[in-house]
Amino acid sequence: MLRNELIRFFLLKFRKHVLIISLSSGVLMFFLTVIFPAMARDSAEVISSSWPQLMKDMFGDPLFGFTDIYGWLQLELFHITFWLLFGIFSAFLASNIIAREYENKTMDFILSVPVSRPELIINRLTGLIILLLVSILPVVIGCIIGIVVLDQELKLLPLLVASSTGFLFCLLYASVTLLISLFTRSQTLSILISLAVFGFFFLFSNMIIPLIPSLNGIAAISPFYYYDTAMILIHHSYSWLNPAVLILAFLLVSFISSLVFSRKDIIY
Amino acid sequence: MNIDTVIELHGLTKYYGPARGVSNLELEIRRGEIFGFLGPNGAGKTTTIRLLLGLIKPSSGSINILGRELTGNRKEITRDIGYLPGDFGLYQDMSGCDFIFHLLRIRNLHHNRNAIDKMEALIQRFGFNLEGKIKTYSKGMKQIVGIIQAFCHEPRLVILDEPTSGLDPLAQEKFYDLLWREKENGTTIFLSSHILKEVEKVCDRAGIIRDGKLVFVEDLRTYRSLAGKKVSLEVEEDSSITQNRLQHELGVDAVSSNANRVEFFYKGEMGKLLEYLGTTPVKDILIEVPTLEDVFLTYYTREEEHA
Repeated sequence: MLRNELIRFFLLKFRKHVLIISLSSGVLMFFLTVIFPAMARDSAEVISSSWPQLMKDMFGDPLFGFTDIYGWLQLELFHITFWLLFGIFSAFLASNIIAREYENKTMDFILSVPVSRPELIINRLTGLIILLLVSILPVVIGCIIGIVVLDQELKLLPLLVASSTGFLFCLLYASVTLLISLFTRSQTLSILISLAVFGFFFLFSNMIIPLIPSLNGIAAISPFYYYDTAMILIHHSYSWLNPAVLILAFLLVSFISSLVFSRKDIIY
Repeated sequence: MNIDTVIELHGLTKYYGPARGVSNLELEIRRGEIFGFLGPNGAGKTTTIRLLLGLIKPSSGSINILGRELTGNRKEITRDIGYLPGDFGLYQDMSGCDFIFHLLRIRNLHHNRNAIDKMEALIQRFGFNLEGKIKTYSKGMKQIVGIIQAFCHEPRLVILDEPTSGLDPLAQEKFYDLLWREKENGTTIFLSSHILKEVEKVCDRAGIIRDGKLVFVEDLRTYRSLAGKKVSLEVEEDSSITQNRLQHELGVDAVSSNANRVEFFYKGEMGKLLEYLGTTPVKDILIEVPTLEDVFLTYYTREEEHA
């Protein structure tokens, strides 16, 4: 099932993109970490009380963010920056699996060799997983170096769990983009639509649900429900359910994509 | 199914929603032959090719390739197929050699000495340097890359869609020579084209597709005798030679005429034709062997008249 050449091709094709993303995000995360304000709790309480609840729901609570380095990382990095940056990057990679081949008219060559359509998707998704891992790793390293430079207590577990959850979230983001790209056959359009979908779910989880508590019953339909890095980084509470749901959702959407692609007529 | 049959289509039909792709195709292509597939744009040539490769699924009918049903065996069958699409792109940042090698790697033939030797021999045959990036290539060079990748893994069946598009006359000749050599080695070639002279030159048999239906399949070595002679008469404007008279007196079935020119295919005895022409006022006569183009145009004009 795994074909070295299909994976190798995908890795080589995006090696420069990954190098740029990983190095720049590593450096960015280092700087985001070292500008931690380290406020006294009472000062943070004053700022926190001046923020409306909706703003705290949307962007995180400064009470934790300005007093604790891990709360700061949640506020500055994981709450929005991480999923937005790596989500869009994983969407870009996912749109290259099929949509790019349509746009470049190279699909005929790839499907005229002894490769089944599910094999093509599985192998390229494997390449995507490796590339995403390599891109995210410097973020963790950047944070660790920043924490050490600041002489703060280094807690590896919450940092690794938050990054891993973010990684799984981006995989789901990628698989949704892949599915969308099978219908749009356009890279740009599939990236934009998936961004709109995840943007909506972000607002749904962080604005609509807090505003309309009666919708709490359907809060679990949002992927952000399972990307709860505040619980991990601030409260050090780890649930295996969230990563498990993200993995299952990624596998399910990838499987559906594989089925849809297998049944589609390849026409330009 | 005959052991020598490489492609066998039965009742092959493809509809795109309500739009017709191809309808009820019946066709057998034998091992080692070069089959020309003719038709104007939109007739169903590319649809047929995409069906043969499993890129689209038939609405009904069956496709057997190399003795196996395509449905369920596509992956195994494509090991023995080489394919050149009619309208294709290449990875712009790769070199031509890397692109061909990439496909060989996917086929797991990158260590196969025969495949590598064949690739090198083909590059040498066409005389291009394929080391530079594809984005710097001319249309003809890209076409050569497409041709080489279709042949280098020594497939038993090669499907080519408009293969000489963008090739200069010299490269075209080299390509025709390649086809003949491959045929000598037992490779079957399915060549889709709208260049009638090309098909006439290199193919053993040809099929004409019109509005999704095969309207002509004939051996090109014998079609001329079957088609008879093409007779062109230059006549006075008020000539008594009419379509009805020709059909009645000579039994010709395909007649085209305008004010002072009458053309038809004649399959009967030459003596009878000359006797008839001797009694008829004509200004000039031309009797010649019909070309494939004549046959092709006859089929199309006849079908249009019937439509």
